Amino acid sequence: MNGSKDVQLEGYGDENLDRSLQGPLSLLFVCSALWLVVSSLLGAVAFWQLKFPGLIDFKAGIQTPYVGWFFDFIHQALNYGRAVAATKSVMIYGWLLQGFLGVAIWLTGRLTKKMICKTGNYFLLGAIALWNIGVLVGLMGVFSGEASGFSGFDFPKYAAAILFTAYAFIGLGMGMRFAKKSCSVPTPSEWYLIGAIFWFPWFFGVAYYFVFCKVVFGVMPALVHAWYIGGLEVLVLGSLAISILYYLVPSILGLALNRVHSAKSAFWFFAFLGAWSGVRHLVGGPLPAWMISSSVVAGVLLLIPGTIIANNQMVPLWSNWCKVKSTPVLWYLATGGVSLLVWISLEAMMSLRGVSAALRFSYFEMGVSAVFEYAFLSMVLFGSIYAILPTLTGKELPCCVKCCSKCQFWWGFCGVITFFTGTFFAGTFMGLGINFAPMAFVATTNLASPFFWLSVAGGIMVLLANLIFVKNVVATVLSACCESNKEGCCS
Amino acid sequence: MSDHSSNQSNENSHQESMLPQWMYWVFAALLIWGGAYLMRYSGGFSGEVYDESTVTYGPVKGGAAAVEDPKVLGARVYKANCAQCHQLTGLGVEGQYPPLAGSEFVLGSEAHVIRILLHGLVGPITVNGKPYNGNMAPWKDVLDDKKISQVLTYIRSDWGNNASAITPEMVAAVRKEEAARSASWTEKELEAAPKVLPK
Amino acid sequence: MNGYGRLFVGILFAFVFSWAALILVPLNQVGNLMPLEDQTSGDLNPPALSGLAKRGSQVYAANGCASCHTQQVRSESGGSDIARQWGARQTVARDYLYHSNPNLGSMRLGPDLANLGVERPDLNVNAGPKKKYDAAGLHQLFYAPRSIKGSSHPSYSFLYEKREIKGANAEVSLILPVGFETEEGKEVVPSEDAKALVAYLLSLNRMYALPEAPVKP
Ligand code: HEC
Ligand code: HEC
Repeated sequence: MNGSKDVQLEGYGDENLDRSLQGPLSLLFVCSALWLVVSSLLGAVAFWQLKFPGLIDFKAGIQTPYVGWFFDFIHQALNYGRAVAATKSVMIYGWLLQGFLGVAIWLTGRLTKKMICKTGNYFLLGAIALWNIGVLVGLMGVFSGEASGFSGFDFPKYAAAILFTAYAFIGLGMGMRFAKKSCSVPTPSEWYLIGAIFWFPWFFGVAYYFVFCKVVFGVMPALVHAWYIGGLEVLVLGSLAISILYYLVPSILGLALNRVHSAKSAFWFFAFLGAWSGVRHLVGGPLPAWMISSSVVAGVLLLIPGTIIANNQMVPLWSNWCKVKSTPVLWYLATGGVSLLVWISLEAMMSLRGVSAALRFSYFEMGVSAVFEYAFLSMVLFGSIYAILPTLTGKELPCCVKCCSKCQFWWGFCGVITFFTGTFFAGTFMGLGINFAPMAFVATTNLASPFFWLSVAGGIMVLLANLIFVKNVVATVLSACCESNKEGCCS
Repeated sequence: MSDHSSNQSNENSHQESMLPQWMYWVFAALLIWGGAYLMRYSGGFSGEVYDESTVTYGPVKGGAAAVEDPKVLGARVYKANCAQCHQLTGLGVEGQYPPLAGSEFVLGSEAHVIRILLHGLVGPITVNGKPYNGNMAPWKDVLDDKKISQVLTYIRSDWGNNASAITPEMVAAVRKEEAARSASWTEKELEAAPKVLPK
Repeated sequence: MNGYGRLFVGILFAFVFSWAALILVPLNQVGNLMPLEDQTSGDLNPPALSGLAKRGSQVYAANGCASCHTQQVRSESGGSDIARQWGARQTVARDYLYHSNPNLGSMRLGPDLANLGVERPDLNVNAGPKKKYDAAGLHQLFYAPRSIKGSSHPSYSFLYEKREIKGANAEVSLILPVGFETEEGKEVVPSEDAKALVAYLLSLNRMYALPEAPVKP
C-alpha cells in the first residue's frame, strides 16, 4: 500500500477485475453525469418560470411558420409542469439510479471477486445503452405530453418498460455473480447491496402494474405511487448509497470491513421500516388514517437505523480527521453520511401532523428533496465515482481533475446549503401564511419572495458544481483513452 | 474479504463506533412513542376513519348503504376480460378487433348484443363502416348473467355510448331461449333472429 | 441455508410484509368502493365522470398541473383548507372513485382545486364575494393568464389554435378582454385537449356528504 496515493483501494480488489469493467462503467458514468446536467438545466428553466411566468411563452409574437412551430414546441415541452416532471425523472433515473447502478456493478465485482466474461461485458454495454435510451424516450414522452402525472414515476409506460428491461440484464448479472459466490458470511455493504438489487425490480414491477395497467382506480394508484417512491428513495437509492459507504469508508481508511457495531440490527430496522415509510407523503390525504399513521411512525423510527449507520461512518472518519482533510473523496462521503441523518430527521419532522399542516405543500418540500437528492445521494455518488474511476483506468485521476473535484465540492456543498436555507425560510413563511386563513392566498406568495432568490443563488452554485463534475468525468475517461496522455503531473 | 481484513483490522475502530449508552434510551423512547402514536391516530385500523383525530371507534353511523352501480362493476369486468382485445378506449384494433365505441351492435338491439356475448360471434361483420372477420369465443360459461349484464351496461354507457341498461333478467331470458345453441352467431343469423327480447 | 440465503429471505420478507399491509389490505378496504345514494335527493355520490372529463384528467396529469395544485382537502385539524373554503369536509377515498389518476398533488403554489366546480373564494381579496368558474373563464385563464388581474399563472396557449374565422363559430371561440384580442379576422378556438381539461375541472365537486366524511352544518 502506497501512502502517497489519494485513495487506497487497490488492496481490496483485483486490478484485472476492476479494469475489465472499464468500458461499460466509463460509458455509464459519462452518461449519468450528462443526465445530471440535463436535469439541473431543466430545473433552472422550471424554477425561473415561477418568477417570470411568460418566460417561454413566445408564441404570441412569432408568426413565421417553422420558427413559430419550434417555439411552440419549446413552450409545450418546457412549461413549468412538464419541466418539473422531467427534472425529477431525469434526476432519479438518469443520474442517481444509473450512477448508483454503476457503483453497484463495480462493488459486486469487488465483493464477489467474480470477473464478467466477454459476452457478459457486451450484455452490460447493451443494457447500459438501453437504459439511457429508456431515459431519453421517457424524457421525450414527458415533453410531448404523455407523462403519467405521478411525480417521480412520470415516464410514460413504454419508457418504464424499457428501463425495466435494461435493469433486468444488469440486475440478473449482479444477482448471478452473488449466487456463484461460495458461502460465507455477508458483510454490511453486501446486505444493502443485495437488498437493493432485489427491491428495485419488486417495487418497480408492482408500481408499473398498478399505475400503468389500469387495474385499480381511485386513490389506489396514488397510494401505490407513494409506496413505490418510499421504496425507491429509502430501500433502493438509500441502500445503494449506504452500501458503498460501508465499503469505501473503511477501505480508504484502511480499517476492517465487517467489524461495525450494531450494523446488523440497523439493517433490519432499515429494511422493514423503510418499506413502510412511503405513504407518509400522503399525510392528510384521502386515505384511512391508519395507513398514513403507521407510515409516519415507520418514518420517525427510521431515525434509529439512521443514527447507527451515520455513527458507523462518522466515528472512523472523525478519528482519522487528518486523513479526511487531505482526501476530497472522503469529504463527499462524510457529507453524504451526515446528510442521511439530516434527511431522515427532516422527513420525520415533516410527516408529523402539526408540522405538516403548515409546511407541507410549500417550498420546504423542495428543500427536503434537495437534501436527499443532492446532499445525501449525489454527494455519496460523486465521492464514489471519484474513488472508482482510478481503479477502472488503472491510473490516478489527472491532477486537474483532482483540483477541480475540491472546487466542485465547495460549490456543491455551499450551493445545497444555500438552496436549503432559501427554501426553508420561503417555505416556512409561505406555509404559515397559507395556514393563516384570514390572509388572501395570492398575498402569501409575496412572503416567500426574498428567500426565493436565495434558493435561486443556491441552485446556480449547484449547477456550477455539476458542470465541473461532468467536465471531470469526461476528462478522466478521455485521458484514459489516449495513451499518449501521461499521468502524474503533480507528484 | 476475511483474510485481508483481519490483518488490516483495527480493534480500536470497533470500540469507537459503539453508540453512547444514552442513545439506547432515546431509541427505546422512540419505540414507545411509536406505539402510542399508532394507538392514538390509527382510527382503530378501520377503513372508514379518515380523520385521525377521531377517537370513537366502531362502525361509522349514518348515511346510506352502498348501492351497486352496474357501470362501476361492469368497468371492472370489462378491464379484466375484454380490454385486451377491444382496448380500454373501446376503440378495438383496426382490422382485428372491432370497436365497441359507437358500434351498431352495442348500441342496437338489446337481444342481439346479449346473444353475441353469450354465444360469441364469428365471420365477416362491418362495424362503424370497417370490415372485420374474426372470431370471439362465447362468454356464457365464463361470466354469469349478472356479470354479463354489468359489462353490457358498461359498454353501452362509456366512450360516448348512450344506450339503455341491461338487467340480469334480460340476460337470463335470452340464455333460456337459446339454451340449445352451441355454435357462435354470424351476422346473417343475427339479422334473422328476433330483435325484441323474449318474454 | 447459508448467510446469503437467510439474507435473501429477510429481504423478501421485508418487501412482502409492506406490500401486504400497504397494498393488499388497502385494496380490500378502499379498492372496491361503491357510490352511495343520497337519501333525500336520490343522487348517486360521487357523480360519475363524463368521458370528456376522464380525458381531461389525463391532460391535467400530463401537463404537470399537480406540481402546483393539489386536489385534496385536509381535515380541520390538518390545515387551513376548510377555513379557506376550499372544501366543506375532508376528502376521502370514495371521492376519487371514477378517477384513474386522482391527481392528489404535492405542492401548493396555486390553490387547491378539489372543488373547483362549485362557488369558491376570490384569491386576491380575503373574504370578498365568492365566484364560480365557467368554461369561458377557465379558457381565458389558460390561454391568456396575463389578461386576468393579479394572475401569475403559466400560459397554456399551446392548447389553443388561432385560425381564420370560419363561419359562425361564436360559441366555441374564446372571448378575450380588451387589449388581448386577436388580430382582425382571426379567432382562437380550444383544442380537444383544452375542452377536455375544462370539462374535467368543472366536474370537480366534493361538496356532498358521505357517511365517512359528514359535512358539518
Ligand atoms: C380474444 C379477443 C376478444 C375478447 C377477449 C373479447 N372480444 Fe369481443 N370480439 C372479438 C372479435 C374478434 C370480434 C369480431 C368477431 C367477428 O368478426 O365476427 C368481437 C366482437 C364483439 C362484439 C360485436 C362487434 C362490435 O364491435 O360491436 C361485441 C359487442 C363484443 N365483441 C363485446 C365483447 C365483450 C363485452 C367482451 C368482454 C366480456 C369481449 N368482447 C371480449 C374479440 C374479443
Ligand atoms: C407554476 C405553478 C402553476 C401551474 C403549473 C399551474 N397553476 Fe394553476 N394556479 C397557479 C397559481 C399561482 C394560481 C393562483 C391565481 C393566479 O395566479 O392566477 C392558480 C390558479 C388556478 C386556477 C384558479 C383557482 C381559483 O381558485 O381561482 C385554476 C382553475 C388553475 N390554476 C388550473 C390549473 C391547471 C388546469 C393547470 C395545468 C394545466 C395549472 N393550473 C397549472 C399556479 C399554477
